Amino acid sequence: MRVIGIGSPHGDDALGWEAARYLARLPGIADHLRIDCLDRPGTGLIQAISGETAVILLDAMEAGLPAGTVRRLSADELMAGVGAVSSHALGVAESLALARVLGVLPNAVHIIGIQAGLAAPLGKAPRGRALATVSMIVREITGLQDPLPAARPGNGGIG
Amino acid sequence: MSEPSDRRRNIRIQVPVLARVEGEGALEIHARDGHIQHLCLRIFEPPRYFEKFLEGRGWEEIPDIVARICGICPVAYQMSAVQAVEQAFAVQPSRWVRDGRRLLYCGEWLQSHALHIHLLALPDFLGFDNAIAMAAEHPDTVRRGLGLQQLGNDLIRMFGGRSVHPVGVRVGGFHRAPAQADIQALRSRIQAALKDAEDLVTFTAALPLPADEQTFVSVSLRHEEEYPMNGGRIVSDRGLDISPEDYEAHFEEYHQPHSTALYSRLHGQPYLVGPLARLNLNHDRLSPRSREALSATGLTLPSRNMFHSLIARAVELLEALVEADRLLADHAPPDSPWSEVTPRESEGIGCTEAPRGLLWHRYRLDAAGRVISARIVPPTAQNQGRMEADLRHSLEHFGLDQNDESLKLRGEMVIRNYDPCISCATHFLKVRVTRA
Repeated sequence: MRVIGIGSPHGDDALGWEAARYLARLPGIADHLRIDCLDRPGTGLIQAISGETAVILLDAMEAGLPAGTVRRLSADELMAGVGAVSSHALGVAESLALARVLGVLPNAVHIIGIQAGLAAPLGKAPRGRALATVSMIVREITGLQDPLPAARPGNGGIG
Repeated sequence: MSEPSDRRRNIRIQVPVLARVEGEGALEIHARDGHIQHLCLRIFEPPRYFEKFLEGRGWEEIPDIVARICGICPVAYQMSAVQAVEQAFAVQPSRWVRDGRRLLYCGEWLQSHALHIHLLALPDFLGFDNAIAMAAEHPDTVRRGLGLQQLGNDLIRMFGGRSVHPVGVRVGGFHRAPAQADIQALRSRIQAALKDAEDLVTFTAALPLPADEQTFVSVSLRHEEEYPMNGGRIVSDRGLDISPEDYEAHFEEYHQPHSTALYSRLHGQPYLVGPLARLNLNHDRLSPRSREALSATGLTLPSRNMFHSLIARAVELLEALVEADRLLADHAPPDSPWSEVTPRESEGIGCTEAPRGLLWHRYRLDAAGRVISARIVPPTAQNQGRMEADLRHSLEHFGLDQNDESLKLRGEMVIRNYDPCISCATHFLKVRVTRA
């Protein structure tokens, strides 16, 4: 399975990258997954996921939720309402929709979104909690576990 | 939506301001008795603020700051900027740097034109609402576009470090030279894509492009030897032939009450910049391979039909690949990827050909190389007056007796011919029609 952190170096747009790097430091997970970061890939995302059977996409999101909230979305949920390629710089939803039409969408696409801070970047503590929550969702998706028992977070903040 | 075909009906089309990552656009059209009474295209240009952002910043920061002006053509902003600063500091970049910059520009033309043709413009001519719907019926066409775009991005990344807002450019050259193995690998892919690009020229020429002859002035750079990207004199098809340093003596920017963007005029008239203007003025500078592909289309140049912009972009895409192949074949690692720079109090002008047309920069710098003032004239603003004239002509020629949806679509198609930043939204015209 491939994990792709999507984003840019700027502010909370880097949350997808940070989540990917966090996962890459967890031995029980990193040894079994291919983890990459992509810099605003646009349609390059289509090429990145072509040939994969299952991918996990990590990305900062703006969903009107409290900053740091982590949501797991399906490709269908993300693509809902996508009708037109409306931008030079295609977003994740449009790229997935195009990938589906072109027949290269992996069988399993899991999207994990992290609500970015709007007025200010996400603070250190909520940032850490968000990344831990991402890792827990990745464990649920993959069935992988840390060598050490992971703390079992509650459902707070998980959509 | 359908309305009775009454060419005398009163038409009022108002398009609200729309989000533009690279700009914001709006369109208003009022027509009465079969004629357009009022038409204005609004573009709100965030890049204007960058001129102020630059003041007080050091010369080393300029390439990275101006790259943020546009997410689609950051290379163009970097190229005009470094050219201007190097002129100010009397820096002569090496031949390797010059070739590297042309390669970088080839990458930008390639990705920008591929994306515009395949994902933004083609649905108009193949009868689809959008590229996703089109991809279901024409998957190979869309795959070709994505492949060419990816190749352009990879070429930018090779010299620029990344494809979005590249960071590899510096005054005097590049921060680093690409690895020779990467050069060879990319060159193989470019050679493999040449056939796709030739097919694209043929494909665009075979599309049912509307016939809409108009009178307009074409303006572009013209180089002594090569198809213009990074240098040359500014010429027009009305006899203009000036150095970029004389730009301000002939071109004038001015405000219109309905727009915060500046309009431009040449000797008092609107003019065209961009692929069709470049091709009209420089088709004799194309490589033999591109010239042959162009010739096979039967397109007569100069063209007065803005819908031929699509073919012009395809030809330029092919030219970018041919040029990239040639330059990569000659590539040898440099002794240094940059020339030393010593700041001095001075002024410099830079003018290059962005995918959308002429991009003119001027910087005044103090003795430490800090920016005292900056002026940036982007191509979309230069085309604004021409777009309005085109819309007025095209919609009347198209027929104001057409229903509102048809008028809206035709208006969008006309605007998309210019590939302005406002076409980031392929369906950005939210039309509200009121009748008296």
